[in-house]
Amino acid sequence: MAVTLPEGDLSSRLERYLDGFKNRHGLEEAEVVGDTVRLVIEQGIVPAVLTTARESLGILHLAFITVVDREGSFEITYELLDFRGARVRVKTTVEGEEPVIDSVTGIYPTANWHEREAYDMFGVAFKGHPDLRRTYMWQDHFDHHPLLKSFEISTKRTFEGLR
Amino acid sequence: MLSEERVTESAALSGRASGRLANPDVRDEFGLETLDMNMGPQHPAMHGLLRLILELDGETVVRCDPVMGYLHRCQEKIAENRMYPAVIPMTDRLDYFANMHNEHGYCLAVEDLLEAEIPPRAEAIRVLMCELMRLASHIPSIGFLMLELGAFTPILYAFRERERIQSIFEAVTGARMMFHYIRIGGVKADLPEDIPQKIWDYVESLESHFQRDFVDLIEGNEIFIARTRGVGKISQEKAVEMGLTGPPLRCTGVDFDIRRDYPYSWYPNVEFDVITDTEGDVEASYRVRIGECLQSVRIIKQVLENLPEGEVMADLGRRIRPPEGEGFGRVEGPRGEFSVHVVSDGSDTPYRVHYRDPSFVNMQLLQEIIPGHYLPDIMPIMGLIDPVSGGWDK
Amino acid sequence: MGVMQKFNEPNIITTSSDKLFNWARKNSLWPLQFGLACCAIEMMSTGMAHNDLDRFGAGFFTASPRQADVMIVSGTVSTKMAERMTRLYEQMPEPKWVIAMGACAISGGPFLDGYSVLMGADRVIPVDVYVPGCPPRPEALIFGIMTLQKKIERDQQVGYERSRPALVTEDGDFLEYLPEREYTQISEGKAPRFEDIRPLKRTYVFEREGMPPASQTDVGWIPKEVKKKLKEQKKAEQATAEADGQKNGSPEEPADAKGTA
Repeated sequence: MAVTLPEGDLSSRLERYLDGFKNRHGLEEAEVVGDTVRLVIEQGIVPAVLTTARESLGILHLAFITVVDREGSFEITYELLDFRGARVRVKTTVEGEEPVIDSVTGIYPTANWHEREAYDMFGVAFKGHPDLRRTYMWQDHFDHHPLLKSFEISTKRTFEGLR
Repeated sequence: MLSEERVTESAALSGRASGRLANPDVRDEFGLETLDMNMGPQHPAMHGLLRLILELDGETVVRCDPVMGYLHRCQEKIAENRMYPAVIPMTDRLDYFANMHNEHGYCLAVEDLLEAEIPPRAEAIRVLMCELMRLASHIPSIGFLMLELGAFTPILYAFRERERIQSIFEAVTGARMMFHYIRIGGVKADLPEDIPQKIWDYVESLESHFQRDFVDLIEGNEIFIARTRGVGKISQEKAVEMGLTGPPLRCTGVDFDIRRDYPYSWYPNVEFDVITDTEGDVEASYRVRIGECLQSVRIIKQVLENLPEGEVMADLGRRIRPPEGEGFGRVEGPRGEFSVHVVSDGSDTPYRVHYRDPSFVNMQLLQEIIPGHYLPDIMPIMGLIDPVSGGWDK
Repeated sequence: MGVMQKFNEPNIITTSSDKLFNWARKNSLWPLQFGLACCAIEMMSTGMAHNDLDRFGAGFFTASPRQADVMIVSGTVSTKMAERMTRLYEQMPEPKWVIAMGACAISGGPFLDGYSVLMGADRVIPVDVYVPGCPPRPEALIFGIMTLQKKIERDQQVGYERSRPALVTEDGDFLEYLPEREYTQISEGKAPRFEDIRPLKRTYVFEREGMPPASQTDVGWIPKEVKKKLKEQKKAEQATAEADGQKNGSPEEPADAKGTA
């Protein structure tokens, strides 16, 4: 019932996490910057990497899932916190107009609403999500995904022409 | 309608959920069904515009489905069309009970992008304002919890305290609620000369009557205990799984506080305890909030004693135009972890701003915890999570 | 109340009963608990002990619209909420008033360019009093309620046209009580530049048909000295008018006493 929080010195823990990730998966980039372990991985192994983080390395908290719309592809960032000062930031890129990526709700149940919000705002579909529907916008006749760069609001062009 | 497994599962969730539907003989003989009820967006529980679609078996909730979006204000989209300093008033309006924390989080993110150094006096003032804001948020939380249980006096006392804190804020920042005080690079202006003394006097007086007004009045009350003890009990594992942070997490016993574990700003120079409780129910969250109020008072006193001299604003140039990249800022708000992710493309306006609001994430608990409880228990559970609708709806 | 409907014009009975009804109504305005966003906190502060709304009779915030007199729209109205807001407005029994509190309820406020924000509550319901601010101070909200009270004082049970808010478009035609809901085109996804956005429609309150609101012709309180001066001016004009009348040859008594009346 009780949750055990990690012990030990911060830098040794960061090294341990980095090694744990490197040994188990093929990562595109992996480094330790300050108090963060930064990983850039391919989209297919996201659930595997996060399973490693949760099960083997004991990183228990998924802080947020952010999607950034780089026109043409979507950059998804997962930030994990072990509760004692270390952070793990995992980045993937998903190509295309209608992106699909595996859901991590089975690993970190808190991702449920984060992924719903990402779907609502960006249209990123999460395979295996138990309940993928919109959070903020109305479900019936709203076919747009508001935070895409192609969805313009009236002040979008305010700074056009100025740098 | 209702499948057998779900009924028995919900009945197994806690001893309270012994609905008649669980018994198949009773159900078939009397033709019983569940009732679908809507606890609509406008309801007198003060926590905001939340719609709960409930399926009730008598008084017991069998399924609960929160629907949000009734206050969606497109903050993230609008922030892409405003210059960096102009986003700060918008962050004020996110979680409108913790304005200073929102501003602080956003400014930390942008300062991370700029890799700026903040003068120590500005850091200390930021912490001072944040802790005052925490007081001004926790005390009305307790008031709202009691108001939803039917008591009117605690909320009057709570808003009396909040008015006094708001008058301090008005003297320092010029506004009662939307401060726009914490700016990128520091704070807007220095504290007026008599303010440290005023804050000290206020905080001492609060300490002296806090026990009488907020603890003795509430803690031993039979009705309060009957309605909050054992209600909304969360286990530590579930709390960590659901991604809770802040008082809902600490009331289960997990010892996590961003001010101590991921320190930022002036917090490394300040001593305080992290209050936890083992029970995990609504009464425990009440105790955690009371403890945090007293710790905030302690922090405020320490900051006032050791307030450094100097300027309050770093020299970041006239135009905030960070290089390309991303910045993360994370603060401990009164409701949990508030973090901001700012992506910049080298121009005057941010490319993407993402707010991770504690109310949004903590609300996932409603779907998990409420089934099995009675209908009137929903309100104390909302008091445990204490969401603010500007937060979950952005 | 059947007696009232027999009268076609205001007279001593209807004005006296007007005074009584309006006094009763304005001093016990029960607001509907319609706190949407940050302004709701200031509304709550106004209801609490420091700035007490109860001394105006408006302290009982009722949760049920069936028992409410005034709906204080405090906070941003999103398009999703606008439907529910109109339903609540329709559920309130007459006489009812609406106070739009805060910049968001007046015109969309700081979130004007949002895709799911209604540019003002008066796009879907008729609003009586606007209280600006973001959020308005409790004193400002109290001033708004006092303004509403002054407006209620001018109510007439029997009159040329019973004063009730109506929605008049700029072309001059009266819309139905609840017009077709109009949402901003922004939610369609393609937003033109600012110049092309439809300008906001205003809501006017007409008390007598064809006349502008009384407040535009009604001057209000005048200081004593100015009043005296205006009186003398008026007398002088009357005297010259009489003098012209006499000059033109109409046989009239030399009105000296009368002219100075």
